[in-house]
Amino acid sequence: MQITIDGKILEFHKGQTILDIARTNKIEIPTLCYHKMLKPEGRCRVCLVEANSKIVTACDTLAEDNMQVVTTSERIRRLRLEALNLIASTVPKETLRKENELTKTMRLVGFKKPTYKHNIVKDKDKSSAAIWKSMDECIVCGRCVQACSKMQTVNALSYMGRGYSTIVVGSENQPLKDTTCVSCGQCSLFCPTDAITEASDISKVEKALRLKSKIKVVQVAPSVRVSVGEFFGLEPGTIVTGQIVASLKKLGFDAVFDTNLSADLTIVEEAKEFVDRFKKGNLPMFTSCCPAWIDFCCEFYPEFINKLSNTKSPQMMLGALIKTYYAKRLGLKPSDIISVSIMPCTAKKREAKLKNINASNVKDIDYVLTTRELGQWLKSKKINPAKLLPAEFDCPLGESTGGGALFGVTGGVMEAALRTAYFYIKGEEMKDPKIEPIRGTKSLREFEVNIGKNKVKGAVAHTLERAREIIERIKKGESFDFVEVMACPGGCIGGGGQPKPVDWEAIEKRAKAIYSIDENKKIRLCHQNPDLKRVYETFLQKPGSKKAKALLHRKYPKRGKPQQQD
Amino acid sequence: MENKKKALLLNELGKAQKREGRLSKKELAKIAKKVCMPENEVFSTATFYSFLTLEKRAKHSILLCNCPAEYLRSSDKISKYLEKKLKVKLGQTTKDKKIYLGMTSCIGLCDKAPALLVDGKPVVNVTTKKIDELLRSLK
Repeated sequence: MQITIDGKILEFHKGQTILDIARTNKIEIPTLCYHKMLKPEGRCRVCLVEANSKIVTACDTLAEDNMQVVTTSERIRRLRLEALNLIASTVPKETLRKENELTKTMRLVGFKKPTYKHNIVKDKDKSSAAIWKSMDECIVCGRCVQACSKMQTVNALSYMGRGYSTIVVGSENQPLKDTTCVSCGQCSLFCPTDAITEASDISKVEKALRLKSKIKVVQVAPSVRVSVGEFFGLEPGTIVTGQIVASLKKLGFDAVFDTNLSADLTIVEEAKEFVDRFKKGNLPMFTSCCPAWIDFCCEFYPEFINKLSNTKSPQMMLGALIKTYYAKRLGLKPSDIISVSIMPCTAKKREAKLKNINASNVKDIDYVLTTRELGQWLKSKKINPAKLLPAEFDCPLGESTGGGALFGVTGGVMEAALRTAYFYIKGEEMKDPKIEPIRGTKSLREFEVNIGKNKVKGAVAHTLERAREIIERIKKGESFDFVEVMACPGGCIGGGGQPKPVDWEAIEKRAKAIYSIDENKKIRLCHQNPDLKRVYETFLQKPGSKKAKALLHRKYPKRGKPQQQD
Repeated sequence: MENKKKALLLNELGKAQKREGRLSKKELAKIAKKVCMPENEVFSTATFYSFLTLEKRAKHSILLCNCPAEYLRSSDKISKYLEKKLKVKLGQTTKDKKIYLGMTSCIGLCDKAPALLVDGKPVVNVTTKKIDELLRSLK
């Protein structure tokens, strides 16, 4: 079939929208509410074009054979300006001065200043430990609601009212913390302005850094090192591990540790638990490193809580080691250390504040910053990591393996865990640590891996829609041994705290970088981590020991999301 | 399928509104289950339509049509007059909790604008005189 856009005759296939065809042929049509990873809703009216002389939205109008499309004319330009005028007049002036998707579209269309007067809605919700919502900047593009309801099937956000008075509220107009919200933060990632953001902790961390009597420690998650460079003009997937360490030192931290090490630790403990359960029963085992997924399981499927692995997430494991093992080594009290973590995730903010999650008598993790917050913070301090000489993570919690690095990508935890489980079951190392069938970008992947005579049937799901699907299938009688769930698309590399605007190509590039980190490591099996061996020898004894259970494992509530402290 | 569900939803919401005079959270949850839709979507729908309410409204309701045709026939004067007479703003209930004054989207009476819906019944070609009569009859 053929379509004519701006005089060019183009081939297309059934089901493509006008915008799809234009974009694949590099014809520019400005958009605002449209996002490639979501279903187009045609709300903002910025992508208007003329199709067979009728004005239509390009994002959700299917192309027809012999359609004549014009994307630039005076009539269209005027309509687009008007649409932007109506949208821009509903947000505060400061929003229009910021760099965001709204101002980017405004520049593209050539829109300067709104001329309408409109009462700006002031509705703020800071009830959640992970996500803040302030409706004055909201342009009701609908992406957050769609990401929450369709991609995550969490349904924590809803619209209230109609027309200009429409606002996005916590489901049924409740504060966000009382809704089914699992803190995944996809709403904040898709937000074209800053109406929904992470609960910011930058100022608190800055204040804590000025305390001279404390040791300030920070950890960096596996997926932050492949994405934070994007704030400084680097390509998605540029690995800036050493540069992050250097810039964190410049910000004033005393020691920078690697969450990849505790990812190794998670695997050592989780693989042990899996092998035990594989022999004794209580399968499938679900991974437990994604706090949004834990919240989701506890909220929607309490009958599956006992199927969750009880190992803590890497963030909390390193937090536990910092406030016990590291404190002991330095001869300090846990309260003498301030422990910060840099995560790709908003749910980690809530995780750090949970009851019964701490190994020490104080908070194991004091503050959590997202990748976005780190980017903002570095920019405000005029530190450009791209221009710094790389530095090394600090001893004694700085060494990591390829397996730990994989935590950042969907399927990674599964792959690393099976490498170690193979060793536990067979007593010998895997010849080729790459397990191909687990990798990929499909949102639900099933596979079988042979370990000696044993067959392990596993599944990997990312986005909570797919998690729901796999649970429903298990409920209907299908059986799996090991299931990995990551709440965000692509795993942590597409996490709710990652750079905006998100796009699938960037996620894929970050995944490639993560896999290359794994391949370039000399040690790729988590249980061979030399730093961890030392931790076990001098402190934890052996995987699954009483001490390891006390410090590195956690209990879940019987039903409902885990509760926060105070 | 999706559209059928949505049609069913509005039907259910309307019935419940008529029965209870409002849509309670419990009622919304019940309806959500019945039509197999998430509660947040049911809530959004309930807040979208001006005939559906979450809170119990006053005994009487006066809904003013807010479409452009009405403005052209100076419905703003009518709304200001109503506000002055009832001593409330649009979207509010009078102090004695008897009358609710609100807006509604097009009620299909643009040819007889300005138009009101008083307790669900249309009043057309409204003038200030007519309003005086109307308010007297409601009290």
